[in-house]
Amino acid sequence: MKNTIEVKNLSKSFRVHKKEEGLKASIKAVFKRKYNTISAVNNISFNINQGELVGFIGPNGAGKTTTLKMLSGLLYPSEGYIKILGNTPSERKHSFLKQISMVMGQKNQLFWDLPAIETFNLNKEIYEVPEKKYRILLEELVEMLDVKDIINQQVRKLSLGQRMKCELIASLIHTPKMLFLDEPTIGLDVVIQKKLRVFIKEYNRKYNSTIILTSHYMGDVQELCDRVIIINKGEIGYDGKLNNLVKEYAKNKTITLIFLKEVKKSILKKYGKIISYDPLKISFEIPRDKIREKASNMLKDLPVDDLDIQEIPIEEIIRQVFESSTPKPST
Amino acid sequence: MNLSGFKKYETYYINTIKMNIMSLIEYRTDFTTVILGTYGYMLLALFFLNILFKNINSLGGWTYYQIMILFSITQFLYYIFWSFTGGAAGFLTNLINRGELDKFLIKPINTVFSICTNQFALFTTLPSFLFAFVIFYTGVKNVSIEGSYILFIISLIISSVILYLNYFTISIITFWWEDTGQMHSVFNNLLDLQNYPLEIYPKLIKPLFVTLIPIAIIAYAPFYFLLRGFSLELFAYQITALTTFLIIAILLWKNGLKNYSSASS
Repeated sequence: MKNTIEVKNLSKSFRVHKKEEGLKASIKAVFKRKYNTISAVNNISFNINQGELVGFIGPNGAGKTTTLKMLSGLLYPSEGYIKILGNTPSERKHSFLKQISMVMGQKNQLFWDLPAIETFNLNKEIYEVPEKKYRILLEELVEMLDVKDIINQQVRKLSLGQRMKCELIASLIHTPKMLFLDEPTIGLDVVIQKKLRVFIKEYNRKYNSTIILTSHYMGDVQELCDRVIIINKGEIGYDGKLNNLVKEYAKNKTITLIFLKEVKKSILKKYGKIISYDPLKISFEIPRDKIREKASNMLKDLPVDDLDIQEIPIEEIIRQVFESSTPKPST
Repeated sequence: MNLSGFKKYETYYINTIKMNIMSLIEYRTDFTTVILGTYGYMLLALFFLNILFKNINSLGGWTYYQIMILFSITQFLYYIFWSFTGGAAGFLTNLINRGELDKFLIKPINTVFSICTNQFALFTTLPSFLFAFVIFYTGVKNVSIEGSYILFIISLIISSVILYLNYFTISIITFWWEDTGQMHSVFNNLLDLQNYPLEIYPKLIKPLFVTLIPIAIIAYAPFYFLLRGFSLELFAYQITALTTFLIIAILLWKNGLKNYSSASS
């Protein structure tokens, strides 16, 4: 399979003015400024194939958005090599820009005072999409996202969810081969989040677009991405299948029991590590290979009303990845 | 650029105008404030000219009505570029500081074009334009015109572009310095110097005002071409200023983009 994105030893650092406390320091800074170099992305490398749906995960300030912006040509890399569909993004050639698209959950591209359809029409011209192709695609996208009734309403009168759906349509009018989604579901309610996920997955399947997604919501990543790249302090902590991540880092599972009558904590200690305790409810952390045996013992020995076995939350796994990776400190 | 390429720029511009009209209607732009502000400024300037000419007969060899024409030209210059680009220069400063330049950079359309045309404002500047025209007309009716109107209009457009390039260049500096507001206000204050003819400046300062800071010739060149006729020297100054500032703006823009740090999510 052909690599659509090739990234080698990519770094980005920003020079920021160092502000010191006090009037004296402020006056001194007028004549001689001190600068700090902040390393936002530090020597990362990865390849992505056409049609892959990859999740970029990391805490705030990890370097996710900076990486995405370098990939889309918005930022010049400080060092390293990027090739996307054979192009160097920072050259921002129109032929390259016509093949990509970016949706930023916190910024909008729709004309605020005009109906969304006006932005769609404008993008059709900007991306030089043939009329017939545009009509067919628009109808399809409008139907998939169920926005037929709102595309003729002024954007400022739409809800956040409706606006995000229209943002997605505006970004897909030219059927980009590469789609960058930066926090597309931020601030949306769970129903809309779910709808957008279904849409993104379906779009990826139908058009074989390469999609890179950053999100704070693990639900987005779990439902959409087979592959995840975990970034922390500008470095890659993990790059691989989401399933393997769970196997590699989640050595334990959680067993939660609800009792018919109160049970003393002292009796329960022998079954495993207690995470939370209530006389009528308890959660244990049990090694994966002991789950079957321990669960069977518990059912046999204790007045169990209900038993639930769960994977450790993905957020917890990611926290473990961050803790086990030892990124170099920023300079 | 082929025909379809031209179409996208045309559609973009039409859409901007449409958006401008819609927001005018939506927010019921307060014309009273606009008119009071600009008319007040122009009336005060005329009032000052009146007082000045009660004490003197001529300024640098020019009469009251001639200086009135010069003043109206300074207003034309300003409103020409403001009508078509609006506050695009200030808009650029905001875009850079808020990291919102992204949405323009990511589109396969010339970024400078899309920013400059984004703030079309002809409808809000029209009343001020009309008032400046009344001042111009009053002046023209009372003096003899020895030059050419065609030359005047060409020169006026060149000067308006120079002026705009100056504004835009100051905004480009935002890529390095976050706040260029002070530079804009210094430049705005310097612009008031346009209201006076070139002849009043001392010989030592004059070269500075026609080259490095070409404030003195921006309005004076079209004014001279209208009242006295063509001057190769003035025209050469205009073309040189236009070329120089265009090159500076392009170089700064290209380097500025490399320095653009966008904003986090």
